[in-house]
Amino acid sequence: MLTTATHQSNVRLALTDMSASLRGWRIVLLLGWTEIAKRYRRSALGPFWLTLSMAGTIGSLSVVYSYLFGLSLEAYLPFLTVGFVLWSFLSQSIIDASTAFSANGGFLLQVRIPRFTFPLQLMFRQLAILAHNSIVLLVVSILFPPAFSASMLLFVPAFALLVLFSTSLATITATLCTRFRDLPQAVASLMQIAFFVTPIMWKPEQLTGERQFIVDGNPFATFIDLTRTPLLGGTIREGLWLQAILVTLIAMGVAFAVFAKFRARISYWL
Amino acid sequence: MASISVANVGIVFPIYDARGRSLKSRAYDSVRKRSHTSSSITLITALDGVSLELRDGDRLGIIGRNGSGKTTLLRVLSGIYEPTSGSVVIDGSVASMTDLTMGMDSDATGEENIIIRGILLGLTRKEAVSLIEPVRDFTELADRLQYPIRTYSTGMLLRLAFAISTSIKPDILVMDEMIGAGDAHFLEKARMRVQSLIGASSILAISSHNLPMIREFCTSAILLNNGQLLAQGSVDEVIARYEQLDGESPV
Repeated sequence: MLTTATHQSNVRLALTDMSASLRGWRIVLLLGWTEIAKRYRRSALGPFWLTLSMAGTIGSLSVVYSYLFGLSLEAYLPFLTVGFVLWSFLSQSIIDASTAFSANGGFLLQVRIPRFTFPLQLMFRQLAILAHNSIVLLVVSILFPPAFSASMLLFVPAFALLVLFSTSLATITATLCTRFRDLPQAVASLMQIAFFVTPIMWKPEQLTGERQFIVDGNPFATFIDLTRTPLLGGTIREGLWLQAILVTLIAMGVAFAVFAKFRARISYWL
Repeated sequence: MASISVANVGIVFPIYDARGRSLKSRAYDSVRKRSHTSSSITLITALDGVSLELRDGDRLGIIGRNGSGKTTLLRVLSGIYEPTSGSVVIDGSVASMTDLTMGMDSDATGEENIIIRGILLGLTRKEAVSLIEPVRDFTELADRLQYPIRTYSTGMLLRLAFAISTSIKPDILVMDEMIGAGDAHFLEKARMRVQSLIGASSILAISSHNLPMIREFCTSAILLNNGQLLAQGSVDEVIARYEQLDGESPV
């Protein structure tokens, strides 16, 4: 029997909402897939247009910046590609989240549907887009094969942390952007700035001395470094795991607090 | 056993203008130590101190003028709005028939839309697929179900939306005005279908301006005015009170 009772604590209601959203995985997959299917319906390439445009960007950037930095294409292209693909997953999750609730007002005002369904749906969609984009990774790894080793498997737990971190930030963004309608533009420009101060186009070791804090204190840099290094066959530097786990836990805590506090208000803000 | 218990529920809506919607203005105002009232947030009381108990077999009619809080109350009964004060306990699955075309994808075919809606209503994919044949029979759309619904006429679309929405038998049925669809022939079929749906649900809550319809379907009624419960009781008593209210000058 389905029961809705509103006199429980916010924390309890938020937990109920999240578990109901997870149990409603069919709805999450359906709504997420519908968005992707729409792109396929209008063109045979579907979301591969995004992949093509990403390949074009990576191709042009690598020609220019490998020359600027005096690096060989073999050293630079795999680094840029892996970083760029992972970054676009992280940043698109956050940018997309700014309309996660407001674009679904139709559902939220018509049926009883757990709110956390929408951040989950968005993450599923971004994972599906990442799967399309990983073709670029495949092509680059055929052109410049990395040194395969068992430590590459560390990508799996690293990526799991990245997903948890992105989901937390997406939940915070989705909730606050429903209340403040000028926030989505701010989020988009912040992510633009974050792209330039995160070592994606440039290598972390290029930024030394007193400016090193830009890399060390940047949580985006932590997650990009953590997930990129194993894919390139490198060794994850000491302390990075701990840093990533801590940042993930903090982000999850803040996300839960924001969601628990404002969950019931979301339908009023639509 | 389905039930709804609404205790002393109040709903206060914040109405934001562009300034209240803006984080920048809010930050600026708080730095300048202006009170919020000078900007932008107007509070509207949509419901105030409403209490209700609904049990199995209850058929509740909700009447009141435009803007009296009927739709807001229906959304509370469906679990969409969590009240700002008071409490609500809803036991049972709820179907709210307010927007029949909810979640329909105009580029998807009729059959795909049946599956989409079925899953949204909580079915598994297999159960949703099994809806296709009954809906095909009922709507008389035959092969047209294999075309994208953007190629449908308005009447066909309504027939499809109606048939899908009424395929699920919920414990609690919430309706904003009586639903119906189509030409004279279909209207009669639709009417019978709604009646059987109402018969199968254990609780019905319907808001309407159509008083004869309330008399026909409901066993009890409430009258809302300015978000407050003005009268509660048998259908005849409440309708009498409503007509009396109509005689008084509008608020």
